[in-house]
Amino acid sequence: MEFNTISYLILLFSILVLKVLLPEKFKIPLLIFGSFVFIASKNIESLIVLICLSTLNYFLAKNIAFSNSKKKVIPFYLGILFNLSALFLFKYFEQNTQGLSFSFTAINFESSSFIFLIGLSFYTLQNIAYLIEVYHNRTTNNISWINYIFYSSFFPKIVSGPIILPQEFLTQIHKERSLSSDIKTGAQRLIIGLFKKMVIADRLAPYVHYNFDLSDTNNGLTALVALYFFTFQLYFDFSGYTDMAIGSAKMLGIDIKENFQFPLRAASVTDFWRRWHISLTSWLTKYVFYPLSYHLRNLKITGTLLAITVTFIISGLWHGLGFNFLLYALCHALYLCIELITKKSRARFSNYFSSSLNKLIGIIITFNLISLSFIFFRAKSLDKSFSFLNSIFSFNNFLPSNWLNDFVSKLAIGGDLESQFNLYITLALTILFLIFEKKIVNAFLTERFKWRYAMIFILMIFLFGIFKSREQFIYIQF
Amino acid sequence: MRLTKRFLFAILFLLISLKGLELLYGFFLLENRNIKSAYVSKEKINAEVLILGPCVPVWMISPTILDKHTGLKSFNLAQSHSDLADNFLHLHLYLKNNLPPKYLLLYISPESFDIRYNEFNTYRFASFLGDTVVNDIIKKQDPEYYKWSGFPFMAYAYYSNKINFNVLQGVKHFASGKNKAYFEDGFEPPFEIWKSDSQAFTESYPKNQNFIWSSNREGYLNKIIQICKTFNIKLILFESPIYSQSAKFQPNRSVFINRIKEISNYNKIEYLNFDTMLISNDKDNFKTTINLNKKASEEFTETFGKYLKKHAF
Repeated sequence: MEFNTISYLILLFSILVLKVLLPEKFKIPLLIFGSFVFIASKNIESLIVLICLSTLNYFLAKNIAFSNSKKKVIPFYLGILFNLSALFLFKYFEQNTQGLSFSFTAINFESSSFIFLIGLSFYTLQNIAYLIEVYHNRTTNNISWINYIFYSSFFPKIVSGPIILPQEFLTQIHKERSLSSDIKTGAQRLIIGLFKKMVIADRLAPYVHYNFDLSDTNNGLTALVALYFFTFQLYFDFSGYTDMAIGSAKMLGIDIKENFQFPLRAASVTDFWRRWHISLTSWLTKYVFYPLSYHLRNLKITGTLLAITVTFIISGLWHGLGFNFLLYALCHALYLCIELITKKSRARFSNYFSSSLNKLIGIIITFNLISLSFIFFRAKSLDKSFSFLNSIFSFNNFLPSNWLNDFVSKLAIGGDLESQFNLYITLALTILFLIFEKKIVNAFLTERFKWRYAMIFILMIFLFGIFKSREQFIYIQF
Repeated sequence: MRLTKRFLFAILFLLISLKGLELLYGFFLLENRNIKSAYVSKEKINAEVLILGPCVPVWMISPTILDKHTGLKSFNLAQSHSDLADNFLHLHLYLKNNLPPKYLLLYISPESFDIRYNEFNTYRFASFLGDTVVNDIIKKQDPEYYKWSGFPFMAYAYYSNKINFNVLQGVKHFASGKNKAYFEDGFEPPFEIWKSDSQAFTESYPKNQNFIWSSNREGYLNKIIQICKTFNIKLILFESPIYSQSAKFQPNRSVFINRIKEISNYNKIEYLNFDTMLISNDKDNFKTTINLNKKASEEFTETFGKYLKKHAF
């Protein structure tokens, strides 16, 4: 059951109606039941593993909390080990004819993992964070088991986050809230998410799939534009998912923190990471980068550079055990290290231009750097990544010799008028949304329900949305 | 209370808008002369020879050349990527508005019975929902679509990428009063920009891949046979040349050919197989293993027309 399906909307609506009708004391059991239905609809193993891991983490955290500083070391490391083992076992192993083996993954949609467990990578990070917080006495340990299960399994965030800590989540349960305001703002967010996913991301998906996976004789410009398409697809797919997650949670009376802040408008890679997948970046910063930088503080700038590199390597490995993800992560580590080293000289250089021009140049450079790193993220193998890079930087073959055959037809998957029409519609919708994204968010996502905006977006979904061959959310595989 | 009222009003507005769009889309799709199903449902074609099948005949058999040799008026009703269910529905819609042809030339090859080749293109029949035959087949071939098609506008929204352009073209045809299709006799000459490349030849048939017989496809062939008997149409099955070197990638090709022969013998239908014609040996005559290029297509159609005149008509 994915967010962009009627069955999900029916589930959400049913839970919402029951939540309104039932007394307050049934709120948590109802939401847990709804989450269990949602998870079990994907596969029952996911639900069993989630309950087992959450219970284990809960009792280990209790043990840590009630042990003295020497004794709590054992349950703490045991907990970390359990979580990482689960991640390794279920995420990095695959079933093949020779039995179980490591799967060196790349982004693909034919997951052959041992058992596909929904949201494992995300709730593992949450569990680890909780153990660390309890270990350092930074959080209260008076959470009940049922509340911990509620927090772990809460269906709007189970698939791909955002990653949040139990105290951020559970403190909201008994807060007084305005039901109508929650429903209005949540529904608006849900509509925007559906629009991003069905009208933009899923329309871009076949073009990306064709140019990355099927066609291998691209000229530089075609490859570059296909790469931009993927950057847009990934952004709209993941941020669309996040909008739907935040919107659904809001309708059910839970606030989930933001995961994106207009990342494609970032003026530097550092800025990009403050705006992209914010919950993962915050987790890595808090639990990997800060401790590492502290330990390496004697090495001064080298220590910081090392900490950045290690943090990104962990981020890459979290995505998958493949060289592609490692190179993707190393690209970003390199970008950030260069930005850090050249900070002063860049500041001096920027004095020569106006601030708006500086920002524009920054956005263009950052967008291209980010897109280039996404080659490793998207291509199915290292060979494919390098041949794609080669195409982009093959200056002799950068411009297509025949614009219709080698550029438009390749991008549109066909040179006929219908294919071109669909490509142009997709491009127009993508670019228009990107240009007016901030305005749309500010005007539409307010406390007051904007009926006109809502109707327009719903009609646009019906007119241009992809209902058939629905693409699954890209981040569901991580 | 105010919120509930507004909510109900919004739902009502949405449903009315979607219903309005549904009516507009349905109307303009039927006005589009380039959609074969719509064209043959509106225009009187009344051909004596009808050509049916997937991309192979639509890009290969020119009625102009065929008519010259047979002396009969023909129309190419074939559609790219279409399976036998798709072909059957096109024939059904044609017969609803036209006199039955004397002959039906149906392209049949081993690929016709393997679901990995060609498909049922539901969107081509979206504006014909309501016709019981169309409904029955869509329900069977695309149950998910059929389930949602009752919701206002979903019959068109479901395949919006395949529909929107055709609706706009329908608007244009309606506004300009156009009453002929761009390809008036249904034949679409193969694009010259396509090139034969070895990858396309080998990818069509991965090594040692056997064809898999689909009883569903066979069922639709039987329906076509049945409808031909009902309307007293002489059905002729045919296969055009295939690139000779590709046969070795199709281990059970002969088994399938024999099965087609059995079906044609059982139903007393002629089955003409041109798969080993002389032009089959030269790769330059092909765009894919089964699609001939323009020049070779003309050569084949001439041979086919002469053969039909001499032996079949």
